[in-house]
Amino acid sequence: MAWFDILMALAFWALCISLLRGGKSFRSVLQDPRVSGARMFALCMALSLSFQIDPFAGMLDRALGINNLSWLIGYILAVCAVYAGIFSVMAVGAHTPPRWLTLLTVAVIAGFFVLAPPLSRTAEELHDALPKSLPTLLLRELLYIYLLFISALGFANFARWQRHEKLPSGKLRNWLMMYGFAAGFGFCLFRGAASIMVYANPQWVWYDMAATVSSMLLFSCMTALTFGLAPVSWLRVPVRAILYAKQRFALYKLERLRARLVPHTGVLPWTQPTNTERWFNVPYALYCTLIDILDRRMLLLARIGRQDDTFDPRHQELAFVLQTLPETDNWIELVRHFQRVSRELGEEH
Amino acid sequence: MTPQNVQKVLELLPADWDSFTPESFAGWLEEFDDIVIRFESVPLPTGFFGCSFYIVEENGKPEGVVVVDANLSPTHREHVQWHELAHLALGHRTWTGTEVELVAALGNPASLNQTLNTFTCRAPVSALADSQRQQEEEEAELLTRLIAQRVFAQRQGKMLQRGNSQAELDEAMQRMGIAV
Repeated sequence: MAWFDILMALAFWALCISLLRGGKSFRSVLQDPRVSGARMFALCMALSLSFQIDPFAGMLDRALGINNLSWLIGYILAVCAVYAGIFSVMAVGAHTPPRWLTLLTVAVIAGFFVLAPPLSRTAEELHDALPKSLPTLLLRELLYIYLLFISALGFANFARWQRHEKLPSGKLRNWLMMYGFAAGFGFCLFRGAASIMVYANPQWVWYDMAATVSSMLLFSCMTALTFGLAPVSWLRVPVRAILYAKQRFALYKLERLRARLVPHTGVLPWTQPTNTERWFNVPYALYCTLIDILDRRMLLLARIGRQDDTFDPRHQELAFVLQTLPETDNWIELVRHFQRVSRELGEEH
Repeated sequence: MTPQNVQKVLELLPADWDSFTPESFAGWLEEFDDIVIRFESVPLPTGFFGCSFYIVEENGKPEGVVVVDANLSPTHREHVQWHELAHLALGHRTWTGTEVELVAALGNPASLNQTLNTFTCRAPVSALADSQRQQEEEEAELLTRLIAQRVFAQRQGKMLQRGNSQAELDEAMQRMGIAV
């Protein structure tokens, strides 16, 4: 049983229930394209994924007596879901999807119907397996091509919004959406190409790797789009992730600067942050390193002031770079300043 | 492992870390030890970042004096103030005398470093008199850093807490320099 497929379907059913649970009247929902689009997206996607769970999909096909019917229903619903999703997203900026996309959506669904007769004549195929027949391959490729267009349109749309966005949280949302659509584009490209390759040559050895990469792209696409469209409180998760990465990078830069100062300023008696703190308590480690640099800076400047004979010009240069400090009581400003100093010194040597 | 005396002070301190400043630390100490705390900023000899001692006058409350090197930057100054207050909170031995005795002690520049060694001082190893002083320095700095740790953890937690509005999140991102 494909547990991943079941989990995905359950996740979308949960989303669907949470979106449908809102206390808005039916008329107000219809009047707001963002809400109606989002609800339609969640409902169609949940149904689509449910129709593609093995072995239930096969059981349904056998019960109705039509081979691969679940493929057809699942894919039509997926196209409807994606169109409703992009419709809802564009409505946020008071836009509607371009006419060519609507025509393309109709054409793709028509294409699925054209493929219906050959699909019903083909032996039943599992959803979670490699394409074995030409009709299922064409069905998959049609969906991937459609998703490629949608991803490109979504990416371009959010890139345009990003240029005009002022708020940091809005920029983060746009960036997440752009990343999500880019990952979606990569997924369609990888999975589509790999399906053709493995159909043409069933012994093709790179299929597993391509499938793994495309699955990872799909996962990151879903994660990014989820956080991009999520409520404000959910945005704390990517904000914390970015903050952690920034703090780790700043710590790396400051530790490099401190390492340059240690030979000229000797041992200081205070205990330094442990390795665990450097990874799991980064603000604290960063602060300790900053104070260490400030202490050593004072000691170095004092040695320069004493005209110490053991000083060579390189130390004088180091002291010169450290001499001026921004007059601020915000230690984060100082961290940024020392990051710049560390970068400048790194570029020089 | 955190020494017992450091842990004890940490537990006694008010848990409102978000608004914890050297002034509020001093206020807590004044109440707890029934003393008066005074901050001074004067140029100190090379290698000394700050020191603390007590002034005891007749018929008056003992006065804890926290001296910080005037050449320090604001962040550094605040850290040294916390450090010196940590010495007082931990009850480390330091110089005690009257204002007149203090002026006399500091009056001779030739023996200034020796005089300062009788105070609790934030200074590198080479400037400290004995191992007892070094241990006290480590304890005071440890308490200071543990306080700083709690302050930053609470400030960061408050900035990114559940239920924040969009405006609060934007403000937090701007303050933390998170720009995409």
